[in-house]
This record gives sequence, structure tokens and C-alpha cells, in this order.
Amino acid sequence: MKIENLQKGIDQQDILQDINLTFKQGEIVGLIGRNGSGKTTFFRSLAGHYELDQGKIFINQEDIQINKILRQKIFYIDEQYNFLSSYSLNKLLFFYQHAYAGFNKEKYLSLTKKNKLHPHLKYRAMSKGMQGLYKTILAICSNAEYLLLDEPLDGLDVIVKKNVLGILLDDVSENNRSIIISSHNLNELESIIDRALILKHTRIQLDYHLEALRENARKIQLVFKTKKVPTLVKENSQLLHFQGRVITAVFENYTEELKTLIQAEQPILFEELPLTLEDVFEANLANKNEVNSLGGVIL
Amino acid sequence: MNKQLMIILKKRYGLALIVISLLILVFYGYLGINDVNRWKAMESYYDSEQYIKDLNEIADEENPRYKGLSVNERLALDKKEGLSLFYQTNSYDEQGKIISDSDKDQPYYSMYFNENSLLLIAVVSTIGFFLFFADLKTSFNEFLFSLGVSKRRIYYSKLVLIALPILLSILLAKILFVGIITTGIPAEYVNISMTDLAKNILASWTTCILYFFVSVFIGLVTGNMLLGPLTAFGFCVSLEFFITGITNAWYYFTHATTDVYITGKFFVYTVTKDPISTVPIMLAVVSSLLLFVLGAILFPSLTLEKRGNYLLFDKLKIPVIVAMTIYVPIVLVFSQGVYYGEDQPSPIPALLIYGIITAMIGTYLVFRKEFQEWFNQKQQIKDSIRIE
Repeated sequence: MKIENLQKGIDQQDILQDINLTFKQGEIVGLIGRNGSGKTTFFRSLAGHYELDQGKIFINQEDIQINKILRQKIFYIDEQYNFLSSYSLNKLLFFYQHAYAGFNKEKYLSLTKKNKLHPHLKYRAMSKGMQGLYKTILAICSNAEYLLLDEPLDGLDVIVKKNVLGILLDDVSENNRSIIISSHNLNELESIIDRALILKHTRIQLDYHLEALRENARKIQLVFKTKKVPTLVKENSQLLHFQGRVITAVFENYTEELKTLIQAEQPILFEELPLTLEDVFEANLANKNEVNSLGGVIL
Repeated sequence: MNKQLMIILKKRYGLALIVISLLILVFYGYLGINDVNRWKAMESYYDSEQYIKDLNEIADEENPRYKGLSVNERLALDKKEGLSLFYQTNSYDEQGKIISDSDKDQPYYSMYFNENSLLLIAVVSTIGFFLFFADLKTSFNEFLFSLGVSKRRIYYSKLVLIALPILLSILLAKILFVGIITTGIPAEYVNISMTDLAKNILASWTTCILYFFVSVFIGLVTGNMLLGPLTAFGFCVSLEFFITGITNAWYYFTHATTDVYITGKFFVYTVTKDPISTVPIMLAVVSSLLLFVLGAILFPSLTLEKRGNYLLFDKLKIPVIVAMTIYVPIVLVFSQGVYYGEDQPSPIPALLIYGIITAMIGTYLVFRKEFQEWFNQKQQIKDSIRIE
């Protein structure tokens, strides 16, 4: 899927601007952004709920706004606005089976049976966790090529969460589809995503491939003799915490050469800490200053 | 039509559609049988010994209609007037003779066509309104828009699958109703031709179509849970008053008549024996077609972030305010008729006052969100100044 120059405004306010992205099949992408940053608007725009102000979405080089049937390759259930609550699972199966030409009924029946989701159960009668699990089952059974999952793990208990993640990961390993997940729970995302998109100020500010990030970036805790942070550190990192003389910073393009240069500044403490997605998120989104120094592809 | 979409729509609406269509048919069948039974009860009453005895005892002076008539002739006269499908309230002079001119002026009445057209219009308008409004408010549109089918196709499919059966069942119900009455009553009392009956059925059906499409259109362009239904209700209730108002306004401003104004119904709602004008039929058909086409143009541009707005389409904002500003004053000022003469006040000040009030209310309703945003911005600026 290729998104070109997507723009969407709501009530004379720009929500999304200049969104240019490509989603490859078989990758799990995390869409990260603060509340109100436009993650749901992005999904709704892709799913056709919102008309685009500008831009094009291509699947297999075809514009989905022209060839509408391509929308069947995208699966999205809106968290806030969906019709599921008034129907039983049986009827929902009917709707989704007819909505998606490639719907895998056998898999659906096996997964619902395994998870004790009775066909006559009303969707609204299920717990939030069960609803989340059910939506995940619908998503993977739709056999759509692109699954858009909006906070799929939000509010689920540990057992259900593991179950949902298990179903998703099994599916990705079996099928070559692309999953785009928005979430605030960065620790959970980190364990499953291949790529992270950071949405801020109406734009995708950063596009990380986690493998590359893990290879190149480091989170380092440093203590220098004086409170003054060496220029070398300032220029090559994003400061996460600065307490007394203790500095925690994320370094982009961390190399052996940079390590030697930092050590030349004779720090009292030099300790490499595990770099998490949360650190990246915090460094980029929690800061008031514009992000331009981390190791993602700056868009 | 898209097969996948039709299957989904059938699943969603099929049962409700069958139930509603059957209810309309059963209700009209019941009304027809009820009216035939009423006719039979009246016939039995006329044939009762008591009635003939009473008829015998009435002196010529007491009722000039019976002057010089034998009992059988009196009975025949009563039966003709009381059992005929349509009758006129005749006027008699002091000698008991019918005033012949009244034939032309008096409208026909019927005791045996109790169609309950008001209920039918209410049902038709409600169904029409919810045809698009329900899917918007229950978020079924989100699902429909993900199907890989164009919105225009969704629009047409809904109308074909839901509107067509409902409107056809109404037509069928009307035919059934008239059929039951005309076959249940002896032909000598059915004082209307088949052609007139057919014309009446079709004319009253076009009125249903008009109310249906008016409601469909309002349901399609509004998104507010309270204001949407209120708009549909208000418009459907006042439509006749508007037609009356605009006719009276025309009379008034063109000085076409001196003190004549109309208050009768413009559209045909049920079977009558009064002559049917083609104007209301044409107006109903053309207006319905226009609304249908306008809906087909608008629906494809529907975007769901506006789902809670009073108006779902920005391009309708100004036209709606203008329409309200013209519509409401005409209904309020002219629907009861306006005489003009030296001692009568001019309706223009009232038109202007109502127009200004409506324009203000309309502007607020349509631009409510913009007003709120503007107010919030002002408030934020005030607050920031206070903090500084």
C-alpha cells in the first residue's frame, strides 16, 4: 500500500498533512502518537470512512478511490463507531463473511470455538477483553491484506492480551499480510512491531525500522565531573533525563568512534541501558523541541 | 446492483421490511373490511322495522326532503344518500326542493373510505427518514463504506431494496383497500367510476412518494439526533401549510383575488370524488425526482466525521438557511390566508420579523459548531491575557 500526500482536516483544523508512506506486506507497523494526534483519523481515512481532502492511496498501483473493490483488502473496525453491539456473533459472521470475499469461515469457527465465543452470544454482552479478542479474530479471518488495528490491546487483561498477540503473530507468520497497530502501550508494541511511525503535529515525523534502530541507537547513562554537559553529547544525542549530574541520553548513529570520543571526556559513569520504544517515544514526542536528531528516517 | 451489498442489506433490513410491508397490507385490509362492515351495519339499520316505522311517522313539515314521498320512496332516498360511497350534503329550499346550484359547489364526502391517511403519511415519513439516518447513527455506514462498493451504489441499492418494496406495498395496500370496499358494497352504491378510482389511488400514492422522499432527503442530510427528526417532522407537518401559504401569498402579491384564500388540502391523500388536478400530482412526482437526484449527488460525498452535525454537507449550509428564512414566514403569515383591504394591516412587517427570527435561529443551528469554536477561542485568548 502506498499513501501519497494524504491530507485530512476536520472542522477547519488540519489533522493529517503530507502523509507519504508505503506499507510492505508481511510487516507489522506501530503507529505511535499522543492522544488526539490523528491516529484514528488516519485509520478512518484509509478505511474510507472519511473522504480525503487531498492525496491518494494505492494498492497494487491502483488508486482505491477509483477502484473501490480494493477497499476489501483493508480491514478496520472503528473502536468508537461500530455496529457490532446490536448483533449476535452469528449475524456478525454473516456480515463479515459477505463483506470480505476471502473470509476464512473455518478458521473463524475454530478460533471462536477455541476461545469459547458462542455463536448466539450478543456482542454487547461480551466483556471488553472478549470483544477485543473477537475483533482480532474477525480481522485475521477477513483475509484482508492490510489490517488496521486501533489500540487492540487497550483494556485487555494479561491472559487475553497474550491470546490476542498470539493469534496476531501466528497469523503474520502464516500469511503475508501487513498489520498496522496504533497503541499507547509502547512496551507491548515493541515486542511485536517491525517498524514504528511517529505521528506528531499532523505529520509522520519519524519512521523507524526497529532492527536498524536497535543496531544504531543506544541509550546511555552518563555522569561527568561537572554539571556542564559536553557539547559532543549535546550534538549527538537527545537528552532523556537530566538530574543533577546524571544524564540519560539516546544517541543516534552510535558508533565505536563516538564511544571513544565520549570516553575521552572522562565521564565518571558510562553505562549502556536497554533502549526501549518508550524511550524513543519520550525523546521525540514528550519534548517541546522539535525532533530532528534521532535515528529514524526524518520525513 | 452489487450482489454482496444486496445480501448484506437484505440481512440488515429484510425482516423489518417484510414485517412493515405486511403490516401495511394487513392494516389496509382491516380498514377495508371494517368499512364494508360499517356499510352493512348501515344497510341493516335502514332495513330495520324500527327505521321504517320512524320514517312513516315523520310529517312532511318536519323534514322537507320527504315532502310528497311515500315510505318506500323516502327509504330509497335515505338509502341512496346514506349508503352511496360518496354523497353531497344537499341544501333544500323552504319547499323542500334541492337547491340545484349546490351540486356544483358542494364537495363530495364519503363515510366508507376511512383510510387514515395521516397515519400512513406518518409511517411513510418515518421509514423514509430512518432509511439513511439509522445507518448513520448506528455506525452501519462505517461498515458499508468499507465494503468496496461506491457510495452511489449504496444509495441506489438502499432505495431499490427498501424504498421500492415499501412504496409498492403502499400502492398494493391502497388497491386492496379500495378493492375490498368496492367489491363488498353492491355496485349500485359504488357511485364512482373505475377510472376515477385508479386516478385517486395513483394520485394519493404520489403524495406518499413525495413525503417519503422528503423524509429520505432530510434523513440523508442531517446528522443530529434531535434536530434531524425535528426537521423532518416540522417539514412534513407544515408542507400543506406551505403550499397553502405560497398560494395565498401569490394571490396577495399579484392581487389576483380580492378576499379569496384557500385552506383545503393541496395534495391528494385518499380516494375522493372531487375532480383531481394534475398540478399536485406533477408537483409530487417532480419534487420526489429532484430530491432523489439531489440525494444521489450528495450521498457519494458523505464523510463520516460530520456524523453529529446538524447538516452533514457544508455546501447545504447557506441554501438551508435561505430556505428556512423563506419557508417559515410564509407558513406563519400566509397559511391562514390574508385579506387585503384598507382596514387590514399589511403582512409585510410580520414576514420581515418572522424572516429575521428564522434566519437567526437557522444560522445558529447550522453554524453552531463554528460559533462554539469562535467562542472557545475568544475565551482562550481572554484566559491567556488574564494569566499573563
